Amino acid sequence: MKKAWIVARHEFLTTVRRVWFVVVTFVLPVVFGILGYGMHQVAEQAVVESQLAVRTKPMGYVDLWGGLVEREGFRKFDTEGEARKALLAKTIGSYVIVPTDYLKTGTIEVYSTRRPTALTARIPPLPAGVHDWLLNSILKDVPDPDRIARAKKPFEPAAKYLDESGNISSERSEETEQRAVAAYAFFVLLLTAIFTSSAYLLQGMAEEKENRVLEMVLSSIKPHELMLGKLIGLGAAGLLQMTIWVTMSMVMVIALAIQFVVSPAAFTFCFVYFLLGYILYGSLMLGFGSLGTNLRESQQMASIWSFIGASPAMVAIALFEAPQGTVARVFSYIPFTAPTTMMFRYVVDPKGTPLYDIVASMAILLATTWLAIRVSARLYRAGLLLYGKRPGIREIWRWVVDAR
Amino acid sequence: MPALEVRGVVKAYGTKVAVDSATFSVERGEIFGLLGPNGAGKSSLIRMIMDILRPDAGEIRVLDAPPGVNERVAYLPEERGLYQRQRVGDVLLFLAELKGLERHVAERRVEQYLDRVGLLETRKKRMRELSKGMQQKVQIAAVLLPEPQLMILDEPFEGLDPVNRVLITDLMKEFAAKGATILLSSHRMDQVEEMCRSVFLMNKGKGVLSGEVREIKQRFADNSVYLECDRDVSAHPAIARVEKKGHAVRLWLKDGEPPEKFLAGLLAEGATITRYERALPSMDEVFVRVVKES
Repeated sequence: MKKAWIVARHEFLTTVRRVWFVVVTFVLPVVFGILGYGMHQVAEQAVVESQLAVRTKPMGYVDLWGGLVEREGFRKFDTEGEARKALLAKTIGSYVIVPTDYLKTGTIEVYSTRRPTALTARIPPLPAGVHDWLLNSILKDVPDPDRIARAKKPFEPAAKYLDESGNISSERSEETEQRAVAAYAFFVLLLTAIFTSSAYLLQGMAEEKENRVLEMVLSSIKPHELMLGKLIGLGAAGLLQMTIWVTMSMVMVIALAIQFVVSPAAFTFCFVYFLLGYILYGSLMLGFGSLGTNLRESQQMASIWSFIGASPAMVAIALFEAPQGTVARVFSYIPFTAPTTMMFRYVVDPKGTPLYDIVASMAILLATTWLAIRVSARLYRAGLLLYGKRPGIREIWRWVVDAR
Repeated sequence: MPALEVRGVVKAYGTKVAVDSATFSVERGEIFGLLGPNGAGKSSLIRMIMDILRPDAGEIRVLDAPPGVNERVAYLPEERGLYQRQRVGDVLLFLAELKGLERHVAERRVEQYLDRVGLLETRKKRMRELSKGMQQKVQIAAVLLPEPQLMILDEPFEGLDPVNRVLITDLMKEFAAKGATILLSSHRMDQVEEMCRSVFLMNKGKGVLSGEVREIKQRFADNSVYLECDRDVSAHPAIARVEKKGHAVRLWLKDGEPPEKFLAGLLAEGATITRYERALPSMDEVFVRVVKES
């Protein structure tokens, strides 16, 4: 074990001194943050720009119904032809035709020259105030201003949530949104930390193989000790990276005075799932990656695990909407998707996530990790000194089942 | 007890037999040559000695133990390379600690052996900044710094210039003089001849020659002598062939003509002789002859 610690220390120090480790740890989150904020701003700006002609020019209308009241900024046309002419002359941004049976159907025809886009396809090309104007027209004969006001805004939702014992929860609806953001952040953080560390493992192993330094190293240490040392060293580097990210997130949350919606238990679970997830994927990547004859081949061999690990992202909507639903629970029990899915479920819905789900997912993950280490150690032992020739499936299987 | 014993070792890759019943032993404190042309099976045999490969048959004993991780054994593989992005000192320190040295001892040895191979100033440099020859010397320093009892060196002179070859040769001789055993795999016969007491020559996986260098050379010697004297002897009836070699001539005596009798005859004739030496074949000649014959 002493030698495994020597390897662990060497791997840890080598990794944390890497320029890329520093960049990924400190610069990447800032870049992602800036990019995310920038993309959001750009999308909003694009929507505003595409609506500009409709929002800044008067709206025309043709009142076939005959009940519309006048309103500032809206121009009345006697015929549709006149309205269309004005639209093409760009003196108005859009026009509506309120048909004779409007009260019965509620349908109005909206005309504009703006083409629908991906972001604005569902937004009608209308200026602000159309809703109130139509309501005013419908209710113009109602004498009570309170009724008119209430009709415009019939209710103010004040939702109360009951917990399992029937007490009213102090949880506010905004917290749900904050939890969703936090869950997404945990998902990305866990996935990035697991796969960054695993990628370093894979890269280091392929480099040692390509440099032929392995034969020298293996004359001093047994393969399983070497593998263990690498897993520990790079796992520690991954933990350090995740701790830095969590600290940076906490500083940001405090600096922006965002209400803290994540419980301390979530951080504990996050570290446990990171460790188990990292050891599972790290050992599999080392084992399968060692079958490649160079870094490119090793990455190809190991890429299947990255794909499986990221697969919960494909059902993210199901996880958001139903954190205790069938999809979420199935993904929590599959060991390869358990770390990210379970964290996601717990952060989104900490009170609704049963403890036995967490314990069961951890137990399955632990058992699979143990199995993965055993299989990978055998592949690693056989694959490390494999140069120039990629083994066949039958040969790989023989290495897995044959201890020597 | 010998430092290394190889008994009837066999290794095949599929249908290709890489090592076929190799048998030899290396005494403690000896520099032993493992020879053979490319593809003879030397590296496969060394990998089995280092427990990187397992033999299909036969037995290997390394320092009286089965092959395995052994801190008293150091290995220089044929394929070279170290961690290219890391600093020379860090790489050596890591390898030294893996060999069981305490950190403070390892630090001292790193300096000591980098100095011995003339690379102390490169300690803070990254491996990739060094030339191929310098990297080779760093790797040799890595082998030497645990001060092992047995060194397995696969083509250690590859990539070294003559000055550095001498430097490394002297270091090996120094280690052997202190009691270390060295198994030297090489196809450089001049180095083997200079350093090794005994050799094992392989060809196509099989051992084709083994024994002490001096004894082998005598075994392969033909009936010829080097002569430097004051007269022309080419017409002498005992001589079959003459070849000029600088100031001397190499004379092949007829079969059954003892060199001692020829020398006595010359002296009786009053010849002044400045050199008379039994001509032994070089290991290069032996190597080529044996490989061709096998």
